[in-house]
Amino acid sequence: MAITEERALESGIDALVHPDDEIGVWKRPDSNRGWTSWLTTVDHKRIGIMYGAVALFFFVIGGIEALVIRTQLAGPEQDLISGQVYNQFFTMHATTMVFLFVMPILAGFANYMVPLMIGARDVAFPRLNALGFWIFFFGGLFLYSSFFLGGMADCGWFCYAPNSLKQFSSGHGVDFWVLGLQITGIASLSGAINLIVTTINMRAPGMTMMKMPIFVWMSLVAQVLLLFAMPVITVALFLLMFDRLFDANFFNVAAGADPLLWQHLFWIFGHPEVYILVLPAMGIVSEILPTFSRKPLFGYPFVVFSGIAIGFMGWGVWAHHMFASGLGPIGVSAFAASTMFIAVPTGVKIFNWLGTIWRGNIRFDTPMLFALAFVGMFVIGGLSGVTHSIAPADTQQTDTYYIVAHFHYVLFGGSIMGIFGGLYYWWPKMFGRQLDEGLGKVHFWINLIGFNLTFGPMHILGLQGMPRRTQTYAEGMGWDVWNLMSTIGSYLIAVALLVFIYNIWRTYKRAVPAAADPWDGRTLEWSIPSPPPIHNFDVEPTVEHLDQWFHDKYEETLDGKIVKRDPAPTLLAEPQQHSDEGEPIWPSSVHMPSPSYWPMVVAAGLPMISFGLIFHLAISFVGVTVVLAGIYGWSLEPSAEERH
Amino acid sequence: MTATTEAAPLESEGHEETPGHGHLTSTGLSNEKLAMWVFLGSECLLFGGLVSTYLLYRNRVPASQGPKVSDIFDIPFTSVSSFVLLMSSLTMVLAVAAIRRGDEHRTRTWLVTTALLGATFIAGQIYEFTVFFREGLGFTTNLGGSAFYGLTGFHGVHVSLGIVMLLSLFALSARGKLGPERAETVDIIGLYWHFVDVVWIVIFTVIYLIPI
Amino acid sequence: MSTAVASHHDSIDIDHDSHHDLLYVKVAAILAIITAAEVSLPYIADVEGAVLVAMLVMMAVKFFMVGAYFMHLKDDANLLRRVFIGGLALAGVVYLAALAAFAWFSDSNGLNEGTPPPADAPPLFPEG
Repeated sequence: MAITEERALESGIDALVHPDDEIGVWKRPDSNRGWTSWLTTVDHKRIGIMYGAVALFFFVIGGIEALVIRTQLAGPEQDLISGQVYNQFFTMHATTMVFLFVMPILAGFANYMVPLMIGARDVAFPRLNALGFWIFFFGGLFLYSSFFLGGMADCGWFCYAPNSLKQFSSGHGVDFWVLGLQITGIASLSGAINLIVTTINMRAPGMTMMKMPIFVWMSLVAQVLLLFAMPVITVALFLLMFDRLFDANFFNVAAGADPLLWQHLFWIFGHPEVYILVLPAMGIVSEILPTFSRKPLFGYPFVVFSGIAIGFMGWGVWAHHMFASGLGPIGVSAFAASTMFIAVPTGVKIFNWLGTIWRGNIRFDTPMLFALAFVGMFVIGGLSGVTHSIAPADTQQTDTYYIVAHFHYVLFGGSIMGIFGGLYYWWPKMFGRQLDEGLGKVHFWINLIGFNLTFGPMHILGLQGMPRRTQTYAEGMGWDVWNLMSTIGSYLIAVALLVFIYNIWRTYKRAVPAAADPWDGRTLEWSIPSPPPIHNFDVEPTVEHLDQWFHDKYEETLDGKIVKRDPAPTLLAEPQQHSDEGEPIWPSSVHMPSPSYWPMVVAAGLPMISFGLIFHLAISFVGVTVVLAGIYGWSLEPSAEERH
Repeated sequence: MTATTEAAPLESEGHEETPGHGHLTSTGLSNEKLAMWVFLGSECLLFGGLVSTYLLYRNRVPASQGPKVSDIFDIPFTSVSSFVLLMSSLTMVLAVAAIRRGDEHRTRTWLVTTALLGATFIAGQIYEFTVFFREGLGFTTNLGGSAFYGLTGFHGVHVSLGIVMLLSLFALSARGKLGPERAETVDIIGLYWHFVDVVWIVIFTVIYLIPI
Repeated sequence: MSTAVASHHDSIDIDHDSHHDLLYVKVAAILAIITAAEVSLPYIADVEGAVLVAMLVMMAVKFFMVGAYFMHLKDDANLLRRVFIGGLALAGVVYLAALAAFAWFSDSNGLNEGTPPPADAPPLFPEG
C-alpha cells in the first residue's frame, strides 16, 4: 500500500542504533521508506489510509457476525448457536460496526481529505493524530481479545445497567467492552480536538468558513459532536466500571440507585453519536453529487446551516430511545416533539441535494450511484424514524425489528452507502489507481438489492411484533418467509463485499495510474497529483471562491456559458521527488514533521492498563509506566525542525 | 508543526503572525492554545455528568445504609482547602506573568508555589477522605459515598496531573529550557490549572455548601 | 523558524507588568472575600429561596472572575470564549434536562414510592 513509487523494502531500523546527544534516548526516526515507516508515520494521509484499512477489516468481522445472526434466524426455532452466544454476536456486531468501522473510517476520510481540502500540509498536531490511530488499533484488538479470554460482551451495544453489573453478567466480557470503549474513546476525543483546531486554524489564505468544502463543514460538526458527546459516555463507562470492578453503587438498585441513570447518560451520548455516524457521510454525498451532476451544490449555506442545526438539535432528542422506560407523559411528549422537529433540517438537505442534481449533466459513475442510493435509502430510514417519534406508536415499535429496519436504513443505506461512494470517489486520489468501473457497478447493484432484501422485510416483521435481540422465534408466527428473505439478502451483501475486495485486488495488480483529477472535481484535493506528494502542496494555495479548483479550470462567458479556461491551470504540486536512497525530496524550505515512535508507545500502554484492571493490577502499573514514559519521550523528543 | 514556505503570502484575510511559532493561522491564535480551550470545553461535559450523578443520588440514600455525605462534612476544613486552591490560581497566573517578562527565577518560584499549594489541597482531600471513611462513609458504602468519592476523586486526579505538569515545567526551567519564547506553554498549562480550580469552585458550592 | 515577536493578544509590556500583577492580587482578594461570604451564609440562614440564589450567584461570579482575569478570556479572542461557553452551556442545559427527566426538581426528588395496588387487585404473576 505504498503511496509513492514501489521501492525495495528497507526498514528504518538504523535510526535506532545511534544515540543522540539530545535528551531522547533514540534518534528520532526520519525515514519515510519501508513498512516500519508506517509504524512511525505522522503523515495525515498515511494515518487516514491506516484508519480505513483497519476499519474495513473490522467491517468484515462485523459482517461475519451479522451473517451468523442471520443464519441462526433463517428459520424458526433453530439452534445453530445458543442464546448466550447469540447475545455476544449481536452485541459485538453492533459495537464493531459503530465503534470499529463507521467511526474510524469516517475519521480516516476526515484525516486524509480535510487538510487537502483546506489547502494545508497536515493536521494541527501530527503526532497526536498518529496517537489516535494507534489507540484505536490497540483498542479494537483489546476488545476482540475477549473472544479468546472468556467470552465477549453479551449485554447489547448499549449495555444497560443494572443488567451489565457483575451479578447479572459475571464473565469478563462486559469489562472488555467497557475498557475497550474507554480506550477507543480517547482516540475519538484526541482526533476531534486535532481536526477542530485544524479546520478552524489552518485554512489556506482566503478560505473563509463559508468557502470551505461542504465535507469539511460536516466533518467539523461531527467532530464538535464527538468532542462533547464522548465525555458523557466516558462518565457512564467509568460508573459501570466502578460498580463492576470496585463494588461501587451507581447502578445498585438495592442501594437506591436509579436504573435510568445509565440509560440517560448512554443516550445523551448515543443520540449525538448517530449524527456523528451520518454527518460526514452526508458531507461525502454533498461532494459527489455536484461533481457528477456538473453543477454546484444547491443552496450551500442552507446545507451548512442545516448540518449545524442537526448538530445542535441532536442534543435534545435522546430520550426517544427511552419512550418505554417510564419517563412520564411530560418527558415523553417533550422528546417526541423535539424528535419530530429534527427531521426538518435533514429534509432541507434532501431538497438541496435534489436541487443539485435537477437539470444536471449527470454521469452515473459508481460514486454517483452510491451517493444517489444514500439519498433514497436515507429518506426511507428517515421516514421510519419519524414514525418512531410518535410515542404511542413507538410503544409498539420499540424493541422490535421495525427499529432494526430503521437504523439499518439510515446507517447502512445511509452512512455505509456514503462511505462506499467516498471510497470509489477518492480511491484514485489516495492510491493513484482508479477502481474498476464495471466491477464497481456490479458491487453497487448487488449491494443495493441485497441491502433492501435484508432490511426491507424487517419493517413488516417489526410491525408483526417480532422482538429484537432474541435468539430464535416460534413457528407459526408468520415470520418465516420474511426472515428467510432477510437472510438471503444478507448473503447477497456478503457477495457484494467480495466483489469490492476483488476490485481492490484487481486494481492493485493492474498498474494503470490515475490522473490527478479523474472526475473533473471542484475542490482542492483534485489540484495535486494522485497520490499527493507527502507535503501536499508545493505552494500554499490562495482561495477566492467556494470550489476554487473549479473556478481555476472554468470560467463563465458573458452569455452565461461555462467554458474551460485556456490555458488550463497547472497542478499545485509536482509528484514527490526522491533521492537515490529513496528519501523524499521537498521543494526548498518545506519542512515536514519527522516521524515518531512515541505515539505507538503511549498507545500500547492503554490496553496494558486495561488488562491489569481485569486480571492483575500489577499489569496496570506496567501500563501506566509505559504511558508516562511514552508521554515524556514524546515531549522531550528532538523537535522536527531541529533536524533540518 | 506545519511547514512554512517562502512563497506563502503573509498578508491576507485573517492571517496573523502568532507568537512563538512563526507560522500563520487562520484566526491568529496558536493551535496549542485553541486546542486547550477546545479540550476544556469537553471537560465541562465530563464534570457535569459526575456532578449531576452526585446531585441525583445524594439524598436517595436509605437511612439504614450509612451516613449521608452532607452529615459528615467539615465545612471549615474544606473552606481552608478551597481557599488554598483558589490562591494557587493566583500564583499560577503570576508564574505566567513572570515568564512573559523573562524573569525565569520568579517563574520557577511561582510554579513551585502553585504545585505546593495544589499538593496541600490534595493532602487536605486525603485527610478529609480518611476522616469520612473512619466515620463510616466509604466508596462502596452507599449511593452517596460512591457518587461523592467518584466526583471528588476525578477532580483530585486532575489536580494531581496538573501538579505533575507544573513540576515538569519547573524542571525544564531549571535546565534553562523554558525561556520567554515558551511563555505560551506555561500559559496553556495555566489554563488547565485554572479550569481545575474553577471546577472546584462549582463543587465546593454545589456539593458542600448547598445541601439540597 | 522565526523567533517570536513578544506581542500577544493580551499584550503586556514591561511597564504594565506590575499593574497586571497587582490586578491579579486584587482579583484573588475579591475571590477570597466572596468565598468567606459563601461559607458564612449557611450559618446565618437556611439555604433555600433567595439565599440559594445568592450562593449560586456568588459561585458564578467567582467562576467568571477566574475565567475572565486568570484565564485571560476578557482580553483574548472571542473564539476562545465561545468555545468554552459553548461547552459549559451545553453541559448545563443537557444535564439540567436530564435531572428534570429524573423529576429531581419535584418534591419527591424522583423517588417513585408509588401507591400500592388496591387490596382486591389480582396477583401480578398467576400461581402455577
